[in-house]
Amino acid sequence: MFAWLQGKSVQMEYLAQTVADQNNRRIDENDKDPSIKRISAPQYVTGERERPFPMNNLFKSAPVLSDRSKNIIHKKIMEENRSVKAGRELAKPYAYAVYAMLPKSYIENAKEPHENINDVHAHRYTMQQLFLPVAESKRFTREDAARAFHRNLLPADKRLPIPELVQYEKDRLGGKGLADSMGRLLKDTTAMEQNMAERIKAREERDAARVTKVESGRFQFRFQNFEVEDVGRDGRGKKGTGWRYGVPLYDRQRGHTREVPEKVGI
Amino acid sequence: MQNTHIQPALDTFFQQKWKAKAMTRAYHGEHVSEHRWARLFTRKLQSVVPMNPQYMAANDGSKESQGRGSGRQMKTPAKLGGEKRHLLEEGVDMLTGLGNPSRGYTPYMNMTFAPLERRLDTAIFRAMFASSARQARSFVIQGHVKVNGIKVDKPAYMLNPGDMFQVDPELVMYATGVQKGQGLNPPLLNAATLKERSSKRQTTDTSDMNADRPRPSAYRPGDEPPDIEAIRASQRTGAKHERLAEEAAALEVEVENMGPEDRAKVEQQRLKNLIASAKDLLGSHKDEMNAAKKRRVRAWRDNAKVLLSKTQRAARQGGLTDKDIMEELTSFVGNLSVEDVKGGAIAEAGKPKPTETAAAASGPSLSADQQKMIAEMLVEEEKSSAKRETSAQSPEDSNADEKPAAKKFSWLKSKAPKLDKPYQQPWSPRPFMAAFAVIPRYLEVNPNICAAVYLRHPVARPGSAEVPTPFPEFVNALSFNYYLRRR
Repeated sequence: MFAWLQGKSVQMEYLAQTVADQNNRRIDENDKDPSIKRISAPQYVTGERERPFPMNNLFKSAPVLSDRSKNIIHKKIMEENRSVKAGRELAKPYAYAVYAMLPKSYIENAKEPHENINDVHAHRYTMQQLFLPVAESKRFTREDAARAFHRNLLPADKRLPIPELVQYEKDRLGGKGLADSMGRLLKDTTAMEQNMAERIKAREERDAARVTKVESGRFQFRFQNFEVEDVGRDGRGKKGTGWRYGVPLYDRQRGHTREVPEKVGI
Repeated sequence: MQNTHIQPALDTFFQQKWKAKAMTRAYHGEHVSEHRWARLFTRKLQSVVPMNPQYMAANDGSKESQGRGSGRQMKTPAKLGGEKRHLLEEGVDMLTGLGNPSRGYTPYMNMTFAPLERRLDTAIFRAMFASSARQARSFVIQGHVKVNGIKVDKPAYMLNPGDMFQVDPELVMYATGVQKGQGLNPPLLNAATLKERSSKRQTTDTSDMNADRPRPSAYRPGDEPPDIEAIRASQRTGAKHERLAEEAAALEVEVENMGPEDRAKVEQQRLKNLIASAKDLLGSHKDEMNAAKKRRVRAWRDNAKVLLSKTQRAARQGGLTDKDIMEELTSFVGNLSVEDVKGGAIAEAGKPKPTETAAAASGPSLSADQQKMIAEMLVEEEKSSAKRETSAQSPEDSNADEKPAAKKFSWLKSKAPKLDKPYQQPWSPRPFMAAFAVIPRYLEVNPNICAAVYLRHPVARPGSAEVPTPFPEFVNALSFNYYLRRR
């Protein structure tokens, strides 16, 4: 920390270098960031690479993708590189400084992935303590565990962001070739995406079919069919019209309380 | 002085909680009122567990349920390949693919202030577009922030996953750059240099003033007003009329000291001269102007004529002393400042000299923009006519003629005056910015265009929590407990 305060910091180094760079030559995207090489690591006051807060060692300053890597991704995905709105001035010196100060990860020659793509969200149902006696002889799997928490809870294998990856690894373990297992993975993921797209489309079509649209010159009238019977026997059914708006709840009213126990079972 | 340190051995639990809450709230959403934050607070903290598909393919989870329920003790240490090293750092057990409590438990308590991270102003601060959340808040309020392309002026706007927000890059540069006059870059500006500069500027200014402005000669109200235009014209012809030039400068001062009646006379003369020059413009230089320009000159001339006649009428009725009338007349003529240019040309070309009619009255005046426009036009015209005249005049005279006029009206010819940047140039980051430079993973930031996407809500994972908080976990836990109380 004292080194920092005495000025032996990345910022001081950066100031000297960048100002010279800005004065002498242009900084453009294709230029390999000179600061990256010369300023090897950002120095937080802790003197560590990814720990900015001295008191909190449970916070990591996660590396950001370098500008170059982002551009590579953009080109790969977008095919044609659309430029930023013409006339808008880029905040180049600012971006240059920010990248110099932060830990970065690179897409080229990356030894480690930028981030884990298989994070499973901790479900609310799994946050409770549960005492479940299980026979030692029983093969208690992840599926069983999920079911123990809730009957509808899916096991972690299916709650992964890309559950097809588990099948891919199974294929690999089973001795399938890389090409075959990769082919299956691609097929599965494509099918999954198509399935999802179809479902969304079907839902939209179903919703649209319910509504009859009549165009007048000025307005579009939309008619929807409703069944009178939907309100149910007591007129308070949830499917009926007006349930959401203005149907009073009589649960605290005298004489409206239902299912009052009339006898005590022994 | 109150001790702000948490002392578990001395403080009661409530005192500890109170101190922790005070400390953490001073950093997390200090600009958010306590009531608001209390409503935002939630005890449901989000977390994720990194999974390893490779392990999941090999094991169905029965291994973990063996033994006494917390997994059978494994004797073989996990082999850690280079490419899986990051998983270890994140507290993932390579054997099980799960977060290993012994390597890194999930610090849920550091997620206490996660709901605040959803706020637009906090997100702007986290994306490093502002130097504090409070500054980010003011950016939002002042309308410099867009969310999904639409201006949002509510700093408490809750971002949803996928929302893109952008801040004006100029403002970001201002917020994060070294402030003006406090630059650390070369040239190093210290107080001494600044003082020296300012003193130098002052001396030059005063010397100029002394050289150019002679003492005003005596002028008694009631005397016949001197012919300013003629004097000015002679001033323009240069060195041979130095004496006259001095007098003209003196008159400038005198006109300001005149009585209302005399002043009205002078202004009227100016106006008449201007009308005459406009007439001249429309007559002799008709072919050099385009239609739009001619229309503008005609409109201006008509307005001037109406004003003049009204002034004269008012004078006949004895309304000369009216302050409003005087002001209007002075502003109509004075704001133009063209008589400096045009007067000279008229005098030289032998245009009708002003007659002595005393009058003043109110009339339609032009807007500031219109006046500027006319002035610009007349200057252009003057320049071209000066060029024409140079052929007849001697070379040194023509130079003396043209320079001051061009200099005086240069600001009119240029478009909007180029404003200086609000930060020290060349741009460099504010001191100590690097010490706090953090961009959390839940934001995807493009600093080039000062735009960022709020990808998802912050989460805790084994070994780390994503909410940037400088406080250790026990302090966060205490403040979590403070807000956990039932209300």
